[in-house]
Amino acid sequence: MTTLELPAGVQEAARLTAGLDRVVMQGFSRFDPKDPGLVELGDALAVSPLGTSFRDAVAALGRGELLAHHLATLAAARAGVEGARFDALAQVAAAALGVELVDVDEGPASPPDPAARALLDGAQQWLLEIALSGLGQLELAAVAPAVAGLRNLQEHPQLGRVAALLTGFVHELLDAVPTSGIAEPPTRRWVDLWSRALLSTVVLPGVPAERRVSGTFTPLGADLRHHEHLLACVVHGLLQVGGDDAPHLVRTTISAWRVDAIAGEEVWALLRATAPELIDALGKPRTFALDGAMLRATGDLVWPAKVAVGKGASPTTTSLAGARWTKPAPRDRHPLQLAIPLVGDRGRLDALASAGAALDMSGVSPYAALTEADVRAADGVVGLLRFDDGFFVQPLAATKGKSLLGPAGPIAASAKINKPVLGVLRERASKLLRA
Amino acid sequence: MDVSRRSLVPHSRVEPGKRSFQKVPYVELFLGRLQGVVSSGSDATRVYVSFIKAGSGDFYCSTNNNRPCGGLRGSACKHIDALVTNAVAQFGPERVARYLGCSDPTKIRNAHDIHQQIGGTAHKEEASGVFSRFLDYLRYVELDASTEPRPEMAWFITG
Repeated sequence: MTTLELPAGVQEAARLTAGLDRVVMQGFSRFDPKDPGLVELGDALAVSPLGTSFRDAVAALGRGELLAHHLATLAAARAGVEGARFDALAQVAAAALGVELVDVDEGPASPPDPAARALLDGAQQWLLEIALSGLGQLELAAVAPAVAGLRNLQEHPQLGRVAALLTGFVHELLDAVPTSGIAEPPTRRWVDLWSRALLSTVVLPGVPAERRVSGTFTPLGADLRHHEHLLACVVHGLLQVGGDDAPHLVRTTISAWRVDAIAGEEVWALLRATAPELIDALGKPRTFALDGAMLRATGDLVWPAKVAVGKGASPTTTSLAGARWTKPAPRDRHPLQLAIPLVGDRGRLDALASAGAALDMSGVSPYAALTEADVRAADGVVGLLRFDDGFFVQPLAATKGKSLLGPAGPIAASAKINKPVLGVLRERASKLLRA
Repeated sequence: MDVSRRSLVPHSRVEPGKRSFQKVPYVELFLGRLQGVVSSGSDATRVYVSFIKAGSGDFYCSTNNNRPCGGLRGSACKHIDALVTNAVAQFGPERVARYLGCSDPTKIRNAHDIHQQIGGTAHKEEASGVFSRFLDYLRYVELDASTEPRPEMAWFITG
């Protein structure tokens, strides 16, 4: 196997964005346009299409014109650099795994309706204010007002993505204030979230091309992501479309709003309410015969309401050789979005580790019930090749003999929950509202 | 691991322990208070709204109709006791202690340790906001689930 050598420029680019990140942490109200970090980033961007607007925005902020669109220009420049890092990393990762990369254009963005525009403006104002104070100097009074705006964002059908992001970010900051008291603030993470959120308030995500497909879908494993108020289960799988030569590695996402009290096995019950067959197939692997399902150009399969369950499957021995993995839409590209499925035995994990992608459990949800010991002792593993300041392998599922480890256990248990927390909370609420 | 260079930084949040949702359907650390909603032991349609303020340790407890709790006699009532016990189960003793401003939060093991350190007095304060926060919290489980991609959730791995 080829080594997962970092492509030229990837680490240098990270150093450039780190300069901007320091400024966002310190706050634009104490902004110095000659900040060496920004000057270096500006120089690096000089020959790019963003060079002039970046320089103009820095100059304007230096004159005290503390406006959201100048900050959005800086955020766009940062996103451009992260996108370039993603492209370089994806090439190396795909070559190492033997999958074919497919590029996709940014689809046209639909304009927000007037209600959505007003909500986005409100969110943008808050993002401007916290950047003026500096993410490293936030007090409760700067963060708490954002909570009230979340409700309308969550309920607006055009704003699901930005609502998911802001709900997580606002609650994370609420837990962290006063942020000046944190010994090692998560600088890159917070500026990722802040800049992503700010750009999300400028323009809605593009709508990718889509087509109806029929064929066989084999779920490989689930990457469960969550914050206090949302669960998102991303199922990676192999899709063989009738008439296509190579199979596609696709994702299908089931998400559900939650409260923090819904934890443990019950999170699977909440997801099962939307896609019972898919969630159950993560515990007892099955293929699906899809008939006219919607496949987006970004490699996102929209899970159909009705599906035909097929025969038993064996995720940890499914061959992915020659499969196609589609890059995310250009504006979504960021090293963290690199997540190419891989299947193999212990030998393959060892080979990946010596190539530069060691096993890392830090992205595995506690609800997935997969331990490092499980993976180390497994005969077969499904994982994702990912990157975060270095390549790593995030396991999704593992087999030991005939048993499937990972979410299979909690998924089976979730079907038998006697007294769900959700039911108790609803019962309490109904009594109180009638009183 | 250099936290400042990573996009994924796991929260050091503890998995919630066993709570009694029947007794304490809602508990939160918000706006400088440990606060929540506690069911009445005798009347299924009555709840108490209880809180402890961070720093001063002042506390109060009243019904959802704003009548003071009869159990408040200079010290915390049983509703506040139940609130602290369930907060410790939900958030872990250290996080609750740190939020309330207890000295040496890493040494706090349970609700009893927290009570030992809370030196405040009963102090009437507006609490109807807590009840509407509870209703707002329940609203989350009424929101529609989705089958649309949520790429930004790549940043959220625990919590």
